[in-house]
Order: sequence, then structure tokens, then C-alpha cells
Amino acid sequence: MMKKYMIIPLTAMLAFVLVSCGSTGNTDLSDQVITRSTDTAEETEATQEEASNEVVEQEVQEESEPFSFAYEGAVLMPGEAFDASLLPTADSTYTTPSCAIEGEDTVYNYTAFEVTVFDDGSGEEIYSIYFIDPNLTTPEGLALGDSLARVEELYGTGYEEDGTAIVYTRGETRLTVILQNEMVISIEYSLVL
Amino acid sequence: MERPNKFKTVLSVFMVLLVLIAAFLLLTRLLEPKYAETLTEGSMISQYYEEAGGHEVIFIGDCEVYANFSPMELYRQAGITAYVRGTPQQLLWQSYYILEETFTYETPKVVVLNVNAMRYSEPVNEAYNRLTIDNMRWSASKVGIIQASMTQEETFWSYVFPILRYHSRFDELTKEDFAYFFQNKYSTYNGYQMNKAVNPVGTLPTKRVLSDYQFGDICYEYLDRIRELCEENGASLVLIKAPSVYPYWYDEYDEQMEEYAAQYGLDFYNFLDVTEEIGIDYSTDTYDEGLHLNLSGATKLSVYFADILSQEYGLTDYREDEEISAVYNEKLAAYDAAAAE
Repeated sequence: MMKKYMIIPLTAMLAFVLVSCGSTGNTDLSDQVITRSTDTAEETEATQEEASNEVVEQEVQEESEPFSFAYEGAVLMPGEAFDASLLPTADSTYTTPSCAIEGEDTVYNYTAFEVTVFDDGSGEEIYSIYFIDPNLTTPEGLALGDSLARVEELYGTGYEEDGTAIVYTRGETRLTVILQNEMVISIEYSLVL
Repeated sequence: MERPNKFKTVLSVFMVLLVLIAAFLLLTRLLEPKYAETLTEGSMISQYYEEAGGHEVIFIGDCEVYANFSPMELYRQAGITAYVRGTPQQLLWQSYYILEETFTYETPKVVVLNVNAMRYSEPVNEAYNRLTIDNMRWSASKVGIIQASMTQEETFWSYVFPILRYHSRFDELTKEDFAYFFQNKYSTYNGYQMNKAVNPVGTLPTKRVLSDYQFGDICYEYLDRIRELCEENGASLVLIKAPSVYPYWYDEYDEQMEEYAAQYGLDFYNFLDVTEEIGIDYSTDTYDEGLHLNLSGATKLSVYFADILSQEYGLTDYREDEEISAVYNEKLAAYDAAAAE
């Protein structure tokens, strides 16, 4: 008889455990690393959040290739592994540990641009590339100081607007251009999170 | 065949249920993180319950409060009784609910809010939520903080039954999980996390242009709620920005806080503007290149702020109080011993 009365609670317990095992998610908090720096994160979030979805209608060629940036023969792409040996020695590096949670972002400064990388446990990956030098251009030819017309000429008008930024997305990569008085004041490639 | 006695049947079911519940609770305890030796920031919330009450100043905010302000130095300098209820990446809505909960334990004269989190309008990371929420005692405030904080991937029930979140830690269990199965270990001094390492500020990353500097509506909503909560409880709300040099605190951010403070007659202290006056030397007073102050820097900042708090907000000098000074002298002895190690 005892077994009979144990059926209900045992079934309930079994169901609970099954449900538990069905849930997803990492268990070790320290594994859940937000390794991008809070500063770069906020910049990207600013472009992600509440994007107005004002996609200007225009025939835009299908852009399936992710954005990438080339410098002295090295090709850098957000989300890809970062190999510092392909670039000149960085002028400075800045490591920003996450508060409490293990993991670090590292910002490599190459004077003309900065690369922010994060480590997902299997090595450094590129999170973003930020332009500093006005003489630096994207592979398509965009540079700081260019006009909005020049941006649209190079990349089309298939962008999203967010505040003073226009955002082009290709796959898991994003090119964010910030304008002031229709002049480019910021260029950044980043990973779509 | 003899029918079973009804009482025996009920008792049997009851006993089975009891065993199952006990097993469930023990299993949960085993699997949930202990925050004793690693990720000790996760125990900050629960440590407060053992020391709640009698604080005239409560700090709320992110790591910029628990790493930069030392209540022990506030006491030593001006006899102030203070507690830092900071947690990593504490967001505005979390600060609100933590403060709401705090008012159920005590009524401080001053609430100090670090405004760094105004820049974040949405939950950043589930792991940070866990560090703040997991060890909160159940109350309406905990329900509120869960609902306000959950990321899309989280469920309310995973907070009610942590085993839903941690069930697969079986193969990740360490000695810590067994050593602190029945006991907690705390590592802060009234909420201050001591760090004595020195890692000077080097070259900071480029100060990047943002497309939008405006703080989000949700942050203002919760800032309003914090302000109103303080008013309802007769506490003075003081806004501060700790002198962390990175991530950058933009002038546009500062202007918004200045405007808000002026609009509601609040004091706002941006300590980044007075680092020289405080005496902070970023070549010796930070343990992570300017993100947080080390013990030396936190001591300077706390001594500086202690004078402001005691002069501007009419706080009691408890160094003259025999009972309280006895408690604090004991705390100071432990604090100084740790500092001297």
C-alpha cells in the first residue's frame, strides 16, 4: 500500500526534474561573460535600441557578405577570431574586467583605429572596430568627415536610423555611422548581439 | 486482508512528502552557487540581513559604490553608521527595489544613489541579475525586482525554484559547494569590498562618440520612484557619481543629472570633478586602471565624503555612543587587520 501512496509525490518530483532538465541556460555564472566593455556596449546599444526602422526605400543590392575591415593586409571581422600578430604592435591596450563576473574585454589601440575584443573562453574574438584617424577608410572608401551623400553612395540607403546614427546590418555584423550636420563623425564596425 | 489504518495512510503520505521536500531543498542548496570563495559579490545582498538596522546612511548602486565607499572610514572619520547595498551592475530598477526592501528593515536619514546606471535602459546580463536577486529574501520587493529585471531568456519560476537554473551544476560542483553547504561566508565590511591591489591608469580607450546621450525613460521613471520613496520615508536622497574614470561619464550625462537634481532640489556630487581635492592619485589608488578605487583610494574618497555627509545632513556622531561604538570598534579592528594583511 505504501507504494501506492508514493506514486503521486514521486510522479510530481519526476515531472519537476524532467522539466528542470528541459530548461536551458548555462549554470556557471562565471561562464556567462559579457566580455565587451560597458562603454562599447552602451555605444552599440544606443544604436540597437529603439531603432526607428525607417528603412529608406531604395533598390539596394543584396548584401550577404558580413562587414569586414582591412588594414595592412589583415582582415578584421566582428565575431571572428582576433590574431594580434597580423597587425602592427598596438600603441596601447586597455583591459576592462567585468564587474564580478569573470572575463575581460581588451581594447587594442592602433592610433588610427581601436579594436575591442572579447574572450568567450576559446580565445579572443573581435567585438568592434572603431575609427580614429580621419585618413583611414573603409574598404569601400568611407572616411571620417565624409558627407551623408557619400555614405549613401557607397553603402546605399538601406539603413536604419537611430538618433544621429545610421546603421547598416549584414549578417551578424553592423556598420554604424554617426553624423553631425550630415557629416560623418564616427565609424564603427561591430558584432550584432 | 486487513485494510490499512487511515491514520497510518495519512502519516505515510505525509512522511513521504516530507522526505521529498527535504531532499529537494538539500539538492537545491547543494546546486546553487555559494558565493563564499568565488563571485563573492553574490553574497552581498544576504550579508545585509545579518546587519540590517541602525544605519543613518544607505548607499545603493553598482560596483562604483561597493568598491569605492568604505563605511568603516565614514565611521572612523565622522562617526557615521552606513551600509553599502551595492551589487555588480545594479540597474536603476534594482536599486529601487533594494531600497524599498531596505526601508522595511530600517529608516536611514540619507540615501546615497550612484547614478552610473542611468546609462543602462535594459537588463544587461542574466548572471548579474542572479548576483543581485538570488539571495534576496522573499518579499513583494523581490517579486518586483525579478519582474523588472528578467531578460527574455529568464523565467520567474527559475527564481522561485533556483534548481531550475542550476540543476546541471552537478558536474561543476567544487569544494566550495560542500564547505559552505550549511554556512555562509561574507567578505564585505558593511557592504564595502576591500581590494588593496594597485594597477594604475594607463592609456584609456578613445572617448567614443555616441549617437544618443539621453538617459532612457525607464531610468528616469525609477529615479523618480527612488526619490518619492525617500520622500515618503523622510530620507534625503543624495545623487553621486563615483570617480571611476572608465567607462566614460560624458558631459551630456552630467548635465542631465544636474538638471534633475536642480529640478527636485537634490544634491548631486560628481566626484570626478574633485579628484585632486580628494587627493586621488590614479597611479596608486586604483586596482584596475581606473574602473574602481583600491583601499587607498576608497579611504581618501570616504574621508572626503564623510565630512560632507556629517556637515550637510545632520548625522549623528556615533563615536560618542558607547553601545554602537563598541560594535563599530570591533568591526574596525577586523577591517584594519584585513587592511594590514
